[in-house]
Amino acid sequence: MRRGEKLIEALLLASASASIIFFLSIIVFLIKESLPLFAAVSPMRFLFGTVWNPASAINPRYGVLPLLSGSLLVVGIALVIAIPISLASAIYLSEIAEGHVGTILRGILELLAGVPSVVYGFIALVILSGLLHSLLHTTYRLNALNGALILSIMILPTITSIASDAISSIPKEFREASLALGATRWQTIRNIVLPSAKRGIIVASMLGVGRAIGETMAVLMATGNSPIITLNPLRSVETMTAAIAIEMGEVVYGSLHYHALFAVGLLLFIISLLINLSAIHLGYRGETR
Amino acid sequence: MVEMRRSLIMLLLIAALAVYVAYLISHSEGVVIQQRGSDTLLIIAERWAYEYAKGRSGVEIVVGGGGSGTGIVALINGEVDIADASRKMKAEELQAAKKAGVKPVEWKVAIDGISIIVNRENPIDVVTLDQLRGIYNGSIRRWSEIGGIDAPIVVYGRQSTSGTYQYFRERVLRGGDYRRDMNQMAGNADIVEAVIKDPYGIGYVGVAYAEERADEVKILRVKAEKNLEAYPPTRENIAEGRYPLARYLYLYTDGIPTGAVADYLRFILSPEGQRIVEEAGYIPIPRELAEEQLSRLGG
Amino acid sequence: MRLWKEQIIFALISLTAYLAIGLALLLLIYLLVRGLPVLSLRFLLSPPLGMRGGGISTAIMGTILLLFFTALVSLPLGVASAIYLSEYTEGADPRLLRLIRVTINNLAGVPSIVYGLLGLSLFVLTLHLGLSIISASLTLSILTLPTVIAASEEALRAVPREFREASLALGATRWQTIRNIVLPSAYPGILTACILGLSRAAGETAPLLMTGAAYYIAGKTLNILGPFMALSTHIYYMSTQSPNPTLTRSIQYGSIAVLLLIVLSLNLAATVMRLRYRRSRR
Repeated sequence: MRRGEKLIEALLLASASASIIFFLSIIVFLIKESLPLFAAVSPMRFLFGTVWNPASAINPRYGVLPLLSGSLLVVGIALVIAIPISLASAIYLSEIAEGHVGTILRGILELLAGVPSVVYGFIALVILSGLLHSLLHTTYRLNALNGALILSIMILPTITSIASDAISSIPKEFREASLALGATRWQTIRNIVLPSAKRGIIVASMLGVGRAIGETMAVLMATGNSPIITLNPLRSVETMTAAIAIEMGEVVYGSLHYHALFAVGLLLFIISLLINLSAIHLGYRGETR
Repeated sequence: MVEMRRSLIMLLLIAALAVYVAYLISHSEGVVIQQRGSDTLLIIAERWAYEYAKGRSGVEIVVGGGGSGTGIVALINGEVDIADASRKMKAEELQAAKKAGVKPVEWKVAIDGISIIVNRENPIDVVTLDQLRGIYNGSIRRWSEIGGIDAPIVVYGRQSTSGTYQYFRERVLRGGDYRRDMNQMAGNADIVEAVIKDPYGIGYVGVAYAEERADEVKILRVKAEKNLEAYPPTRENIAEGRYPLARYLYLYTDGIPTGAVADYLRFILSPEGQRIVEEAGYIPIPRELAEEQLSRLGG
Repeated sequence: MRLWKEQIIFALISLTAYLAIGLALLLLIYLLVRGLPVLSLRFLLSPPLGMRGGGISTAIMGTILLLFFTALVSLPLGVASAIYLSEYTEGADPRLLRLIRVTINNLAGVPSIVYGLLGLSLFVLTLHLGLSIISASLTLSILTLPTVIAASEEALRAVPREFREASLALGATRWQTIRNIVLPSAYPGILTACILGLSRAAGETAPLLMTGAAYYIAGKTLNILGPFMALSTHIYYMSTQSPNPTLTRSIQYGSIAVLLLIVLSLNLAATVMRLRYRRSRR
């Protein structure tokens, strides 16, 4: 009997440790597959190279900057749109909504969070880009703004629900004290509740960034994918994720181009790991609801 | 207790499904033919695959795009039975094949022209190869430079592993690089779609893709030289070599195929397979060429 | 005066929330309105006719097989991990527990495309499983693991301490207590966790593109060691790579409707179960 117990415990421990093994194997394989690129192209020329043209027959170039800037442009605009709206929605859900309305809206948010990214990509490709074109007469139908808009719709549920949890977790007494001192509800929210929930709100935004920078399908179908460095939101840009997804379907396994895509993946992995670790550092406790 | 019973039922269901799947797997004695490569050939390949598999049970044909280079590499790596290519194999590819012990055999299966398309609102009707080179290498940047409206040219092309990308680079750019801000689209259809919606756009696509949506885009006539006549990419013009942007489409196999792959190739080269080529909007190869290749296949 | 201003601020905040959530919901409803009329038994049960017509049976079958094999690996592994993390904390090295937790947290933040890279490098190439349903399912298993673990652990933790203590006091061993007391009462929560994991797997696209999704397969014979079609990738290929995407919009909307129905009903089931479960706990 005791031996059976021990065996079961060992099995369970092994399962729990599997996550560590998977995590390590992600790191190991990303590095292993990136190294051949860095043997041919110095990490500096990869990180700061301004031309991404890995398939050129004459002069292949493996500069990741156009992809990085593409990702940052799209994600940056998405955040500018999504954070204020999510914050307002979170305040509404946790401070204003009464009774069933809040529950229903939360339910809808959860449903929206579950919609596959390829569906959002389809919306961007077929519906949103047409709307943008008729509104702004865009030269490039698929552009950074289109990608940012769809991304902001996608990360809205993430940021809203985490931020609203943070706001709800502020003790009732804080509010009551403030109201008792004669502050209005809005003053209480602005001066007491939001500052106390600041950490949680920042964590929510960071997880939004993490989700946005790693998003592939929606962005790939929305932004037009030309690897140029620009700040113009109406130009087509290519993100790191899109480059990996598109070009991996076409590379020769084992070629320099293949390894370059893994190097892009490694960079992406490091960025999202840093974001995640900082969120954990700020008190994020995982996606348990 | 009810819940335990429920989970038992779930377990049984899962077990039943597992048995079913195992059954399916053990009984799938079918033949799988894998074919990958040129996006230009995709439009024909998916019809061949469908028509061929329709009449035969136990045959599965996996059709994939990705570009000619991708298909050829997959053939060299032994991942596919057939590589679709819209260009001949390159010297370094032949070398790589030799090193891997693969003996690529070439089959000409269709003829394709490349259409140059612009938005319907664009007043331009004719373009020369020199102008095309300028547009695609970036030395011509506005439509006014070739007699059009005063607006920027938005250039659409294929991604780098596309045979069309490489054919166009060889034939039009004479091996030079494309302008860097060319929108590299993943497929012919993407380009057509983009140009339909982009008033300043220009793109190059397989004739079938342009033909498919001829009432939504404008297909330009092309001149090989300034003082020669301009021809539209019609079947006759391509078959008789008047249209300057035309080429064979190829399949590559490892050695002369036998069995299922040979049977599939015979279907492709048969009048029925060539009728599918025509239906898909491409030009069938001359009958003598088909017969000559069929005799190489034997059977 | 102040109150009047405050009313406006509150109205604006409420309006923003309604507009944002409402607009996103409207998009979903629009997709379903376009997609649901396309659905018919024929559409669901007949194979695609090239990439220009026919039904989507091959893609539906692919998604089902992917989910099946993903569940086979991910659910037992995830639930077992959760049991360890929630039930075996006593006596375990706290640093190890913390390491496992942080790792799972980080795994949850890894972009899905990176899982695709791992799947390609590890399963497809190193383990020679090729571009196949098996490679893709293994990749999806790792990807869904954090979701399954986190939600199962929450369910296990919701079981009151006293239940365990009572069982242990009666002389049951740790595993007996888990099997006879903890698991049965956490059962609905664990099921919810599994459903959440699967719903995430059902919609994934990018990792499939690298691990075996095919553009088109004629005459499918269900070879799990070979390439596959799946609903999510079918939507992508149909809307971007097929010969005439605008002509086949109805097929695309139909595929989206099927995918949404699968994912949303899984999510809805999980949400409803969780709510009912939480209520009964209170």
